Amino acid sequence: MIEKMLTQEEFQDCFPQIARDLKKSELYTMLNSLERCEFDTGELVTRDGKTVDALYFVVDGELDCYLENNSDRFKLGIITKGQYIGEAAILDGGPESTTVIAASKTRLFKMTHDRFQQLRAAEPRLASTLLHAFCEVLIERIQSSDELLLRTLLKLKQDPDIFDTGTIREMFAVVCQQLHGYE
Amino acid sequence: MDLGEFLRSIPDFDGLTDDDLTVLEKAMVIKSHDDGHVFFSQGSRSDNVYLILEGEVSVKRHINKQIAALRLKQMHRGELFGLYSLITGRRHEATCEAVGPVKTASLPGPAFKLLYDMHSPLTHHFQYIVTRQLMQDYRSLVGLLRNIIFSSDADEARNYIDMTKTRYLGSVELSETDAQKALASLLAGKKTT
Repeated sequence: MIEKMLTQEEFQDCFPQIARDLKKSELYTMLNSLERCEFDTGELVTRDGKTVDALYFVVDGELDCYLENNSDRFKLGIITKGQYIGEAAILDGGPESTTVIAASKTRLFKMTHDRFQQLRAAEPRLASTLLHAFCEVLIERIQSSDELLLRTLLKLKQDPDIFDTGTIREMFAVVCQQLHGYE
Repeated sequence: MDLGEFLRSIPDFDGLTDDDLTVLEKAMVIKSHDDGHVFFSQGSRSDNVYLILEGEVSVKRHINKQIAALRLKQMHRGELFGLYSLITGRRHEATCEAVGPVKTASLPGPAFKLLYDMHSPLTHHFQYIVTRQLMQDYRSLVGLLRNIIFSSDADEARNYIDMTKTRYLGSVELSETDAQKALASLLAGKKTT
């Protein structure tokens, strides 16, 4: 029989920081707010530039993450267990900034935007714990890409003409990878 | 406009009740600051949450103490700053400085902590606002990088790079020597702050 609900142990294993900060009753509410969904290899989870109505918690499997612009696509990295997809949209309702495609059979648990807004009203401490986790990830990513961005801009300032378009793209792509959490 | 009225006009505070906003209004202290006033420096501990009533505040992050700072953004009327450090107890990750005369309403750290520990909806809402602000910064940076990465030719890429330089390095022009020094220092891994 397929477990529909994410177990407490699995959640603790995949998202220890969030689990640690939640009270037992909040953890229970959290698990009850998640809906299981599965994607097979090659299936699309989110599309760059399109809105998504849920936040996905990755529990099992691997997903490829791309920046996409019309027919041009650039791979940023791989998303694995313990990471989220769609946290930007849950905060501001804006479009996704990446395309995510399952690279293997993948098990995710999703929380719809509506459910998140309900939790903000009914369980503010739980919602704050989630927000805190997003903040930590964002701060870490923004900071780690700051130095790389500065270094890249200074290199170009020093001698802007020595780089061709391909090299420039590569230099900024590395910053973008870092910003998305990929070394 | 008095503070209460101003708080009620901020879209970010839409989700707060009248009682929450009255608590906030009573706990906040209004103050005027001169151009160049440093609200807090990168690496220092937090003491207040600030709401900009009038004027602008620049947010800079020093990567290399002597030369290079990234101008992360300019904050405007109705925006909050100083919050994340207060919530997490971490040192400030950036320096916030008045650009021209600035008027703020500040919430003293102990008052915020008290509200936070009481799980007041107010502080949870602040957490939501700060996370959203961070997300906007993130989106804005991704947008600039995306434009460069997907430029159709070298000229378009250079235009976007110039926009990125202006946005993050600011209007202060680095001399060739300064840029070389900063780069050499960064490449050598000498992080001075």
